[in-house]
Amino acid sequence: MRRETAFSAPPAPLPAPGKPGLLLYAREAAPFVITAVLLFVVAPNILSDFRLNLLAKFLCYAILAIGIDLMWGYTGMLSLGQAVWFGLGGYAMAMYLKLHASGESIPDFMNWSGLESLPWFWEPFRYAWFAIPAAMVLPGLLGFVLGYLVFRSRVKGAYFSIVTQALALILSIFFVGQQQYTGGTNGLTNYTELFGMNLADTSTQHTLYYITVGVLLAVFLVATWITRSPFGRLMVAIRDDEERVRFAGYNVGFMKALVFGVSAAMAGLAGALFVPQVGIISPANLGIVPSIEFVLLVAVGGRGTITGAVLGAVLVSWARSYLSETYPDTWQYFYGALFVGAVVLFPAGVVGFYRRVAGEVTSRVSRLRAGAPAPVAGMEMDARVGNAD
Amino acid sequence: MDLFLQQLFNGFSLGSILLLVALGLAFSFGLMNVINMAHGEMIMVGAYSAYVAQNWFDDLFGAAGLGYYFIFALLLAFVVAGAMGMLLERTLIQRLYGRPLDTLLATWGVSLVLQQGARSVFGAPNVQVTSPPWLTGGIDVMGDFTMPYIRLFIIGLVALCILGVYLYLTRTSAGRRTRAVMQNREVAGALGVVTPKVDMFTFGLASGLAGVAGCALALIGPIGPSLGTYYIVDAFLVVITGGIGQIVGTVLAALSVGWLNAILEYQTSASLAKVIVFALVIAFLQWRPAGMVARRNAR
Amino acid sequence: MPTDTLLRIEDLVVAFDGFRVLDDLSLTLARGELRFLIGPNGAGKTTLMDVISGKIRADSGKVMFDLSHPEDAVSRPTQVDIEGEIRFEGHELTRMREDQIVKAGIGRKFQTPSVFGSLTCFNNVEVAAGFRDRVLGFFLPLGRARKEQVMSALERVGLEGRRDVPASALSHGERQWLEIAMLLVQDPKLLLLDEPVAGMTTRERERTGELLHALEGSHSIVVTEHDMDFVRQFSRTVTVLHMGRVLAEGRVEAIQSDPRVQEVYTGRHKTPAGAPA
Repeated sequence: MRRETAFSAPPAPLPAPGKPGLLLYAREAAPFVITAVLLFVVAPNILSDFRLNLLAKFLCYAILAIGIDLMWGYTGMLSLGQAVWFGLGGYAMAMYLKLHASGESIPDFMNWSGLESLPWFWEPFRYAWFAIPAAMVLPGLLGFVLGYLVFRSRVKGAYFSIVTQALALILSIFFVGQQQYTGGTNGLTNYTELFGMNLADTSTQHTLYYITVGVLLAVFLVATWITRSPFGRLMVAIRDDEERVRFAGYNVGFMKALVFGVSAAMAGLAGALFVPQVGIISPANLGIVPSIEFVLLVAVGGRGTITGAVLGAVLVSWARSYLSETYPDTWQYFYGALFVGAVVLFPAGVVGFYRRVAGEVTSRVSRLRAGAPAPVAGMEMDARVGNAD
Repeated sequence: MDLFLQQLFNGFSLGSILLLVALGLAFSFGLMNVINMAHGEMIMVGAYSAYVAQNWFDDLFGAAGLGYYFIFALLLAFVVAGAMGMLLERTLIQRLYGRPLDTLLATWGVSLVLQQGARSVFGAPNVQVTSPPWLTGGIDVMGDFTMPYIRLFIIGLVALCILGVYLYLTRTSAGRRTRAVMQNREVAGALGVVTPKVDMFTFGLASGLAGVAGCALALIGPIGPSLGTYYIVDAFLVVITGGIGQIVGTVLAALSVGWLNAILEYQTSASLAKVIVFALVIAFLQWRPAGMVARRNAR
Repeated sequence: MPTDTLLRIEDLVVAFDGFRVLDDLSLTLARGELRFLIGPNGAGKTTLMDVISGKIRADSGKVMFDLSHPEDAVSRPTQVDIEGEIRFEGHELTRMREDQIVKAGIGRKFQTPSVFGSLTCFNNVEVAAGFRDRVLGFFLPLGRARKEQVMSALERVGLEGRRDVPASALSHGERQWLEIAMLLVQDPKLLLLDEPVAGMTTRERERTGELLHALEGSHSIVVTEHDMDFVRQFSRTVTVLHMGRVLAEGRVEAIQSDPRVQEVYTGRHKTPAGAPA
C-alpha cells in the first residue's frame, strides 16, 4: 500500500489574527457589556412585573445553557440529563424554603404520607449555609462521579447521551415514587419567604431578578475564562479527537468528568435560582422532556459560543412561552419543527448564522476593495480560541 | 413462590416487548448510527393502529369482528409504522448520516410533532382496545400463578418476529445486502449494493417492528399519545447493554432487563426497581464496556 | 543481555477472532536506537504499536525488561520474566492505561495524522506539552517557559511560521510534522512513528529522515514504513514482519537480498488476507 498521494498545494496562509489591541478587547467584551446593560438597566424599566419574572426564569435557563455549551459545544459530550442537575439544585433550595415555611412542624406532604418526623437527610437543609452551596456542590459532585464511571468505561458520543437520558427518566420516576420524601408528583411548593423577604412581594422578585442577572454574568465570565485558558484548548482537543488526547498522555475520562461536574454545578445553581422565583419544583422539571429542551436552547443559539448559549436560552424560552400562550393546542407542532429546523437548516445556530452573514458581507466588501477572491466565510466555532496569550 | 413465578413470567413478557422495540433500535442505532427518538412514536402509531382496526371491524362486522380485528391490526401496524419509518428516513434522517447527535435532536422534534398529531386526531385522553375473546383467560399453572393467554400470545408473537428477522437477514438476498451494508458500508456500496435503498428498507423494518410492539402493548394497557416515551429509554439501555449491533446480545439484554425489573419490583417498589436496574447497567458497563456480546475487531 | 536494552518483547500473541495478528513475536530495542519496521499489509506492524502504546491488549507473550540504570540494578533484579506482560523501565505496560504509558515515556504517531483540526498549530503542541501538568495549572495563562518549549518543538519540524494556522488548514505532510512536534515536546524515551512520511513530498521526506537521524541517540525510535526508497536512505537496522512474526532483521542491504523477504514481497499469494494493516 504505497501512498504516493500528490496532496494539494499548501493552502494560502490565513491572515494571522492581530495582536489583541484595545479595539479587539472592546469587540470581545461587547456582547458581555451589551447583555449586562440590557438586563440590568433596560429590561427592568420596560417590562411588566410578570414579564420580568418570566425573563428571570429564562435567565436561569441561560445559566444552565452555558453549562451545556461547555460540555457539548466545546467538549463534544451531549448530556440529555441536565435537568437532573437542575432539578437537584432546585430541590435543595426548595427543601430549605419548605422547611422554613413549615416552621417547627414537618412539611405538610410528609404528614399526608404518614411520616412522623423529619428524615435525616432533610435535616441539614434547615440551614441556608448548607442548602445553597449544596445546590451547586451536590449536582457537581454527583455529575463528576457518574461521569467518571461512565467515561472510564469509554462510553461516549451517542451512548453517553442515552445513559444520561436514562438517568433523567429514572430519577424523575424515583422522585415521583418516593412521595413521602419528595412530595411526589406535586413536588415542593408553597414557600413563604427567603432571608426574611416575602416571596410574594414584587420587590423580592425584583431583588431575585437582579441576583439572577448577577449570577448569570458571573457564570458567563467563568465560562469565558475556562474556554480561554489552556483547559479550554484541552476541551476542544477532546472534542476534535478524544483518542489523540488520550495518546498525548491525558486521562481523558477524568477531564471529561471534570467538565461534566462543572456543567452539572452550573445547572444546579440555575435550579436553585429558579425555585424561589417560580415557586415550585416537581419531578416534571427533572425528566427527559426538560432535559432535551435545554439542549435545544444551545442548538438554536449556536454551540461553541457562550454568547450563543445565552441568546438561545432567552430566544427559545421566549418562543416557547409565546407559542404555548398563543396556540395552546398546536404549539407543539411549531416546537417540533424548531428542533428539526435548528439541526437541519441552521446547525451553527443563530450566532453561527450571524457570523456567516457577517463574514459574507465583510468578505464581499474586501473583495470589492481588493479585487481578489475572498477567503472562505467563517462558519468556524468560537472554540478556536486564537492566540495563546 | 407463586407470586414470584408470576413476576418472573410477567418479566419475561415485558422483556419480550422490550426486545421487539430494542431490535428495531439495534438496527438504526447500532448499525446505522442513527439515534431515532421517534422510534417510540412508532410504538404509539402501532397501538393506535390496533384501535383504528378495532373500530373499523366494529363498524363493518359488529361484535363478530372483534374476534379477528387483531390479526388485521398487526398487519396494519407493521405497514403504517414501516411506511412512516421509510418516509422519515427519506426526508430527514438521510440528510443527517454521520451526525448521530443531530439525528437525536431532529427526531425528537419529529416525535413531538407525531405526539401532537395523535392528540389532534385521537384526543389527549387515553383510549383502549378490547382484546379478542380468544385471548381472555389463561393457563393455571399452580396456585396463584397463571399464564394469561394475552401474555403468551405476545411472547409467541415476538418469537415469530425474531424468527422472521433472522430468516430475512440470512435467507433472502435483500437481507444479505442489509448485512453487507451493516458490516462495511463502503465496500458494499462499491460492490454495487444500493446503500440508500437498503438504509430506507432497514429503517422501515425497524419502525415496522416497533409498530407490532405497539400493537401488542395495546392488548395489555391503555393507548395514549406519549405511550412510546415510556419504552424508548429502556430500549436504548437494552441496546447498549447488549452490545452495539449484536442481535444475540440485544436478546439477552432485553430479557435480563425485563426480568430484573420484575424481580426487583417484587422485592422493592416500581420506582426503586428502575433506579437499581440503571445502577446495575452502569456497573455492568464498567465491567464490560462493549456490552454482553462484543466481538474483538482489528481496529 | 546488553545493559542498554530499552524494550524487549518475547512471544507476543494477539488474536482477532482466532486469527493471530501477532504470532509469538519477539523483538529487542536498544536505548537510542532507530529501528525500521517493514512488512506487507497485515504483517502486524500497527498492531505491535497498538500493543506497546496500550491501544489493544495482548493475549499472551513474555517480555523481558533489562534495567538500564545501574543504580536501579542494585535494588531490582536485572531481568524480570512475566507471563503476558510487557515491561518497560519497570512499568508493566499491559496493566496501564494509554495515558500512563505516555507519561512513562512512550509517544505515538498514528498512521493517519491525527491532530486537533480546530486548534492552531501552537495550541496543538501546547495541549501535548501540558500532559504532566496539574489540573489547576490548566486554568492559568501559559508561562513563558512553556511558550518557548512549544515554539522550539514547532521550529524543530519547521512549522514555526504556521503557529497561528488552524491544523485543519495544514497540508497532509505538515500535519504529520505537527503530530511529530506534539511528540517531541513531550520528550519521550521511545517514539513510535507509524508511517511518518506518508503523503509527503520528496523534499519533506528528506527533512523527516534528517529529523529521525537527529533524534536517534537521544531517543529510541521505531518507524514503520512502506516506502522502500525512504527505508534504504535513512534506515539503520530493519526488522521485517510477516504474518505476525519477525521474518528477518539486519541492515537494509542484507534484508533486500534475503530470499525469504523477496518471497514475501513478490509472492503475493502468501500474504494473509486477514487483518488490515
